[in-house]
Amino acid sequence: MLLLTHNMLTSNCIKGVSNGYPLIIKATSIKKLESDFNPEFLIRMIPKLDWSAFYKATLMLGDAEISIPEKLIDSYEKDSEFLKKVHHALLEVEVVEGDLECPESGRKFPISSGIPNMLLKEDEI
Amino acid sequence: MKLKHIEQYLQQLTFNFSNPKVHLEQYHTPPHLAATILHTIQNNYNDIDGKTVLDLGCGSGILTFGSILLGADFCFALECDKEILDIFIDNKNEFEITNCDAILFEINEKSLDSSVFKQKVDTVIMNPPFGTRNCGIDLAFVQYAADISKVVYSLHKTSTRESILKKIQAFKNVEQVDVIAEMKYDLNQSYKFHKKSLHDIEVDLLRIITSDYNNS
Ligand SMILES: C[S@@+](CC[C@H](N)C(=O)[O-])C[C@H]1O[C@@H](n2cnc3c(N)ncnc32)[C@H](O)[C@@H]1O
Repeated sequence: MLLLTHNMLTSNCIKGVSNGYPLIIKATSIKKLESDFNPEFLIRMIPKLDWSAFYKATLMLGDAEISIPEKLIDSYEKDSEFLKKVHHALLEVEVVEGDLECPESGRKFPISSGIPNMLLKEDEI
Repeated sequence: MKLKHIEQYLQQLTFNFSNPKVHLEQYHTPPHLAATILHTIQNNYNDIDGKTVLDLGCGSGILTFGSILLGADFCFALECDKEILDIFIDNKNEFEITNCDAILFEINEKSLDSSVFKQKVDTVIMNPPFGTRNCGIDLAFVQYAADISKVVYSLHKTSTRESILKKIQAFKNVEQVDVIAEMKYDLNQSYKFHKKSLHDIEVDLLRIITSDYNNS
């Protein structure tokens, strides 16, 4: 699971949960990837991200190499230093093993072999 | 990119799966059909290159990896069966692809409530279950896809075209739905455990434009 994907996941589908975002990341194994830098994609995607959830996710990983500012900067389109940091944090850090935890109910969604398991039992929805 | 090259690339994927689940309709899209679909989407509508794509019910991932081959920025791959995702991951590693991510996720009546993907993806490309086992699942896929994306490409049986089009047209977020190609689906190739010998099934490739299409 990349942090880009984490930004898209919620536990609001659980019955009774209204504030299931962002999910808490409890990583036990993280892998660094190398992927092609695609600034056009980042420029298109950044405005769609929940920046605060992205920022929190980077803190939850507690890795000094993964650092982005708390607030999205102005005119990031032209700042390739900034875009490279976003690229690394968003697309090159894979949570391989661990859990996503619902901030409200504490329900854990296991991540195994890099895949977050968002399946719910029938009585949970 | 030439159709033949797309097909040759997709033929190298692994589809073999020891334990296919009939109730999930886990037949994969044959490479020739997948290549034709993706080639049509890109060449006629330019809806893959430079886009964020989502593959609903990704299975072993042929539509995901094909979209990336055709220039998708990123592809989210959603699937409810963990075992078939193992094949997806094998393919992803074998082809050294990093710009896609798989999620175990089930489409059901409730999945719309958790649509954080809403307005985050440009194009959904999918081959949903026909709904022969789980009645209505085909339309649940379309509804979810239309809710999150600007445009949706989906494969459906030609034999039920009229009723499917009518139901899709009635979804709240759907602006327009068109049959953009008629194709043949050789289920024998991909669904070997079928008892009866099946001949080609005729399928429609639908293009569904949603109300988010022009807000970009
Ligand atoms: C016809 S197959 C297509 C697989 C793959 N996209 C391809 O083109 O080769 C449909 C896929 O949808 C998955 N599926 C079925 N019901 C589902 C549901 N409710 N939620 C998510 N995925 C589902 C199946 O496991 C299967 O992999």
